[in-house]
Amino acid sequence: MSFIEIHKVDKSFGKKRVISNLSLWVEKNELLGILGPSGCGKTTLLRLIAGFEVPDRGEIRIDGDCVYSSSNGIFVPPEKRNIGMVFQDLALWPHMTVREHIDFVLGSRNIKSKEKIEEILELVDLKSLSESYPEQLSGGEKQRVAIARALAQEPRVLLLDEPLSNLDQILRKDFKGEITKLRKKFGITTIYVTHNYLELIDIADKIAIMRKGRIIQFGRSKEVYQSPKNNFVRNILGK
Amino acid sequence: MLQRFRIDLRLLLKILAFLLFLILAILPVLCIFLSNLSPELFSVFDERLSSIFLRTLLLCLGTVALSLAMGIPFAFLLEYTDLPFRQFFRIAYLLPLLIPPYISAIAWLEFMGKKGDLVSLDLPIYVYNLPSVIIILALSFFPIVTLITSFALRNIDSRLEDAARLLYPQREVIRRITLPLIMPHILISSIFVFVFSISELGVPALLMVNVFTPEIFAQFSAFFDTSRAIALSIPMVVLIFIIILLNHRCLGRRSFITISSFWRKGRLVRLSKTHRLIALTFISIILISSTLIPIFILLLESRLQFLRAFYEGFEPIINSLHSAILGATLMTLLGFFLAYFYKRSFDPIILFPISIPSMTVGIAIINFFNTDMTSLIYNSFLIIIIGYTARFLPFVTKTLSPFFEQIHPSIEESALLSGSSFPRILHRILLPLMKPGIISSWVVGFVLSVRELSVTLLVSPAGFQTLPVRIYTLMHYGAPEMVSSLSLILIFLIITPVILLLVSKRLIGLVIK
Repeated sequence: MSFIEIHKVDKSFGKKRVISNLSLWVEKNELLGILGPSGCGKTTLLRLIAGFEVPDRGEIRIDGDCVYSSSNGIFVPPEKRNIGMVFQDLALWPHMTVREHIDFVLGSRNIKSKEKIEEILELVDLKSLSESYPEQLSGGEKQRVAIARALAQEPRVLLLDEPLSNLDQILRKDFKGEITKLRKKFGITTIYVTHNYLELIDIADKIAIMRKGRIIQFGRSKEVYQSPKNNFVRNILGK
Repeated sequence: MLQRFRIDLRLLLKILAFLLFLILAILPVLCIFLSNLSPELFSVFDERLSSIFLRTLLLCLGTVALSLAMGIPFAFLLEYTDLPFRQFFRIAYLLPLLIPPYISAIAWLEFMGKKGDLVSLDLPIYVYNLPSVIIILALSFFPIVTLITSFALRNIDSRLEDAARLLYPQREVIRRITLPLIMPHILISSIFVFVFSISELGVPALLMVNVFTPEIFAQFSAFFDTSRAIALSIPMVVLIFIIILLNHRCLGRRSFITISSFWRKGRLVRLSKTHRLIALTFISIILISSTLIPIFILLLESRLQFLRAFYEGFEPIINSLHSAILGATLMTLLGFFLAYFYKRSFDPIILFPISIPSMTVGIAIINFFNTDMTSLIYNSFLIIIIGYTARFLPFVTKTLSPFFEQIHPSIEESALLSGSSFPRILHRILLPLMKPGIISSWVVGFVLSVRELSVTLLVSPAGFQTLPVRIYTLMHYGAPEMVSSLSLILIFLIITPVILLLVSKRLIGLVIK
């Protein structure tokens, strides 16, 4: 049994079908990259896993727990799924300082302690900036706050939704380094969604190529890179 | 060489707009404050004045509190839930704003049976007290809160809430993320409700609750006593202005609401059957008591004597119409250049006039323009238009600014690079792009002006009556069917341009699609 299992999931908005009959699985401590053009449904897929949206059909399991099942009428709300997420544009809370961000996250799990906050601030090198508001931070610092916020609660799953789309090249490299370092430390199962295959090089264990709400190709990164199934996959891999 | 002597039109307009703003909306008040400023000023604060001051504060804070209590849940229901008939309520909640509070007061007085003879219920309820004033004002002003709050809610980046939703249940997310994010907007809507309450003459006068505005009106029209008016208004002005400044600093430091496209239908909260019932009851009670009942009573009381009322009230109707049309046009013109040349950082100055209570505005204008040089203005209806401008220019300007913010600077810059002169840019680029903003702000100016009572009552030249003034004076002679008919005509005058605006917006929307 895999750590995350998505089984035959459907999702429509009005008449538009965004996810159709999609199945996918991620092993424990793996990083799965989901690659696809904009509008292919990859962000919706993340939102279904997080619990922001309710699927129309299918089943989703995390670490053996069923968080959604249409046949059994199960829906676990987001706050009970123990998931961390880094959003596109980071979505830091403008009315909170860095420390308040961490404090807010730890408070939800009742693991609020001074030492714990310090430990996390230390980990992402934000100790000197702990009293700053997001608007006072540089791009790289904001990024580290977003990662710290996502990991502070020690989630079962980390979701990354186009985390680099608005960052310059240097910050992109930093981000990769930061994610790799923290994942090594925590060993956390991760899904990374992007439209740019370069972001997944070196960090993705597996890759799923998505198009129009379906998975076109799914396999070990190396295999997908070496033998793209068709022209669409070849294009998106920049070949 | 010639270049140097060419008049820079932009600079000229920029200075001109600011000068006019100063003369019309700031200088008169500044003059009267400065000329009355003396160590003895506050010695007029006797026991009577102190109690009036406290009662006024209570009235304003009470109205703000009740407006927030109605307006914020209303906005959440409209923007965050799958409330039935949402699209209808989205427009319907604005109706109470279009019925002047003194008209609602007239209707409710009739309803309660203190006057009139058709729907007398003779309820054993005593309505001549402060809570009644607060309820009537709040029922009239809560849409300001709903309007501003729902705008903020609509434009919140929903991922800020999603990020918290991973950790906390919906209710906590609203309390700890959503509400703090829209706090500046709640604050500014509170300021608006506060200043409208303090400037309201009709409702407290009709319900015989002696607060700031009726007191000053009586004092001034009987004894031309300005010192009491000034002594009373200075603490209010200072208080409101401090709140405006704080809010500006807060908004300036970190902008919370970023217009984004992340509004999703998917996050609408599904109301359970019970909750839906409670929500609909809540909304119905507010809308019925603020709109349906007043209009229904007025219709009954008017005995449908519109023709007679129209005939007898012809002059005030025409006076109201042309004053409000001219006033709205002047404000839109001036507001256009103010909003264009003076960006967000000037907000405290542009917003300063709203902190001045209507009575103080009226007295200041009389003081400032009652001179030999300006007697031509002072003795004509122009003085009323100045009064409208002094009170409402900030609202018209603030309606225009977001429309300007939507025009990307590069649009104008590219026109400049192609060698276009300022009049050409104005004519070919700014005016066409700003058309919706200009129309909306004109309607705002018109609606506020056509119902204005307190300043008009003070400054109108002899023999010149607007419709609200006529209704107000008729109230004291008691001619219920005439009062009711004229009130309905006034409501009609207010609502027509708004309906035209909504219809034209829909038409424009259809054409674009």
